Amino acid sequence: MQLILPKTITYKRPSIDKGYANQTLHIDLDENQIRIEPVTLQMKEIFVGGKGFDLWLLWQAVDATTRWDDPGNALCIASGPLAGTPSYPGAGKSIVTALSPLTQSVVDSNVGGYFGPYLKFSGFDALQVTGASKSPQVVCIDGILQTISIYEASDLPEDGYALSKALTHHFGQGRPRTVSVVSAGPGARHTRMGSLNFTWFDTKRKMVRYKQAGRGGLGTVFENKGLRALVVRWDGVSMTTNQPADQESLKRVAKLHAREIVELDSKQNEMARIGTTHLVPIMNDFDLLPVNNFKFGKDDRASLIGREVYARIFDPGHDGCWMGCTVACAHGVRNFVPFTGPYRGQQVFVDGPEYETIAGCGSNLGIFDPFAILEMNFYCDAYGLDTISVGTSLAFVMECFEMGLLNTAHTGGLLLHFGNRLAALEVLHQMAAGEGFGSIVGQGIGRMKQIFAQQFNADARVMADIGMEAKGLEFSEYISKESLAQQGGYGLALKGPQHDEAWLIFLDMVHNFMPTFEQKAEALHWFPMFRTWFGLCGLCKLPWNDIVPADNKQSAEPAKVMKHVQWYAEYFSAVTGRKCQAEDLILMSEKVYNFQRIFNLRMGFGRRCHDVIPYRAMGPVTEQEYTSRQERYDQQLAETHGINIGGKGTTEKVALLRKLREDNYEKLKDAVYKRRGWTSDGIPTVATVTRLGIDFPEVLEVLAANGVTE
Amino acid sequence: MKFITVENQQMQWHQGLTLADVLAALPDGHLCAVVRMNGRLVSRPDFVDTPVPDNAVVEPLPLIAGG
Repeated sequence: MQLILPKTITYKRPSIDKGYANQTLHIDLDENQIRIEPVTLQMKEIFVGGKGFDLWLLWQAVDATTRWDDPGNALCIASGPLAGTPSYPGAGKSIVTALSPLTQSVVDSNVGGYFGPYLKFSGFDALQVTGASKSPQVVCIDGILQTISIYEASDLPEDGYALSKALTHHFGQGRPRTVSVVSAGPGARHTRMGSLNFTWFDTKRKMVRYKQAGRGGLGTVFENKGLRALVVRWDGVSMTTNQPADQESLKRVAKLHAREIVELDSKQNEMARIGTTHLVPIMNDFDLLPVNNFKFGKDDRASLIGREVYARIFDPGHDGCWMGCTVACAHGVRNFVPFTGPYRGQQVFVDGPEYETIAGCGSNLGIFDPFAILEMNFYCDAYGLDTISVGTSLAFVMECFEMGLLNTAHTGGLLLHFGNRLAALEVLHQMAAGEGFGSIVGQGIGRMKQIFAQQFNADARVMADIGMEAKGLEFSEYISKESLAQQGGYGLALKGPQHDEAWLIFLDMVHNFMPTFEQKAEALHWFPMFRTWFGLCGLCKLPWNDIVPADNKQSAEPAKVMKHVQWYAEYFSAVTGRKCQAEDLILMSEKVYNFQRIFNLRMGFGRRCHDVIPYRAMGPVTEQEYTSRQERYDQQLAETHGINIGGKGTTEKVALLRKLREDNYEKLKDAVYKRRGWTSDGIPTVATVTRLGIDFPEVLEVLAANGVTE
Repeated sequence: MKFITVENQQMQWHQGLTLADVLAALPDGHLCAVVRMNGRLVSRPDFVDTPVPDNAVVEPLPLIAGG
């Protein structure tokens, strides 16, 4: 490994003040320029931090014509004012934002690991990287020595695991815990669905650990800029490092939340023991686990890949991705030996799997082998690939293959039937190398549909129904057919169908808490807004509602876990000194959420016609799907909709159900747009942006250009 | 007389007791979609058909919040 230093600057690290460093770092790889800018009061009041700061920096860096692979595209990373508190659960998140290779619009992805807090403590609330270098670059922000360096790099390890490990030891100088690395890998370089690995050093196991900013191809943007790695160095984190405004109040609320999790997690979801794998059997029981490209929601083999299996496989230990987090859900598997690829036969540590990877690279591919899933997990991370987009794309390909839309002449001889784990792994290795059929799969479902139709004469209409993407992004791993609210949660999500905005399936389908369109719309207002708030502040959402107070179900709105929302308001007040109540958190998010919607509009998206989802997300596409749940669907047609189904064949019933469900989805959009203060075309009104204080001239200009003037 | 433990409280057990019976006896049982019984997760679709053994420990899980 060679690192040649063509550019370095020294800087004076500011003191952190109430959660903010009050400056941002800008690196332009075209000219090797390093610039430091102040954070304005307006930035803090309107955009708060984290994703808000990212979006504001990105907005200024690009215009409507900027493409994801233009040097002008900005990769932005920020934590947030509450990030870096070591005793508050889930307080170490970073948010990454850029224009996406998959969606061509704004994408954001949140991730654990130490990078975001270390970046802030080194003096920067956000980092913006623009430009592109022809040669591989490594950037090091050294908060200890107060230097920023851009290195020309050669002979670096190829994959994300080996690269992060080498750089951690190189820059750690015997103290690896002081280092956090961001890197991608060859898969990110050769596809559009690259992810980023964010590291921390696990002092107990004496090894580098990883979390991923997976969604939207941010790793691809990273590699396209010639970046091989970002490194940050910082030493010494305590309750005072973030310089909270009210240390005593912070200690009090942090202790309450941390203690509650310690007391209750073992009685509830056991995140500290099994992470999110508890969801596998539950989703399966409720017909929500994606099986064979979201065709079905249940499979008898699900127990082979669920919590009980991984509870035995996970390496025991207290595994938080930030210091002092009592949720501690970042589990991994020690001494796994891959049976394919460059690590074949070697012992490796696998960080994961989490629920999404198990469902995406397992059940949705008809694969019920926990070790094959581990291998997919390991190589996706090592190659810098998003396990969700990889899984959902492969599921689409497998269904196309089984339907005869693809054959071995197209796949290079691979028999891509559901359940063929070796073929799935082979495609994954091809994706990383940019070779063979894998190079097509790596383009994502949106582009695969075009390629298959144009080059292989595959039926475009069928693919539009079964290709599980919206806005160009692949769906995350939940069946939404029986929850209209979750269809909205996916279809109306700003960046595409990721569940981090709204996960309403249980509230809607299982508990029927929101039977009317207006109630669903209210949920599709409150939940996306509150979930957005975590990304503004540098927090993880799991402590909010995955471990809840013992008396939560006696509260007026148990789904909102208002006791915790109030704690978050106290946490925000204690750190920033901005006194706020629970409802103020929603208002903070509304500003940024609406700004992001208008950002989409600026990039040519963000209207009603872009909030579409494939019919597979709404109901049964095929007769096989209908007959597999015939009692349910017949009952809905006859009893809910009053249709006389006597004498009607399955084809006719499929069409009838489809019409009803598609109509309902449009009615839901109407209700949600109205609740959010948007036009019927899904655009925030001038009155809405004025109420939120984001009525900047350039925002009003975008609205006016799209016909919205009041 | 035989008992089971539900949310740290004792409840009388009888032959043929199912999880659906147990939850029907709780004031907020309708909110429960998943329980842990003797360490094993059981979901609502299976409550009616799941017998509760003598001495069982039943813990209703909170609302499932997703990913």
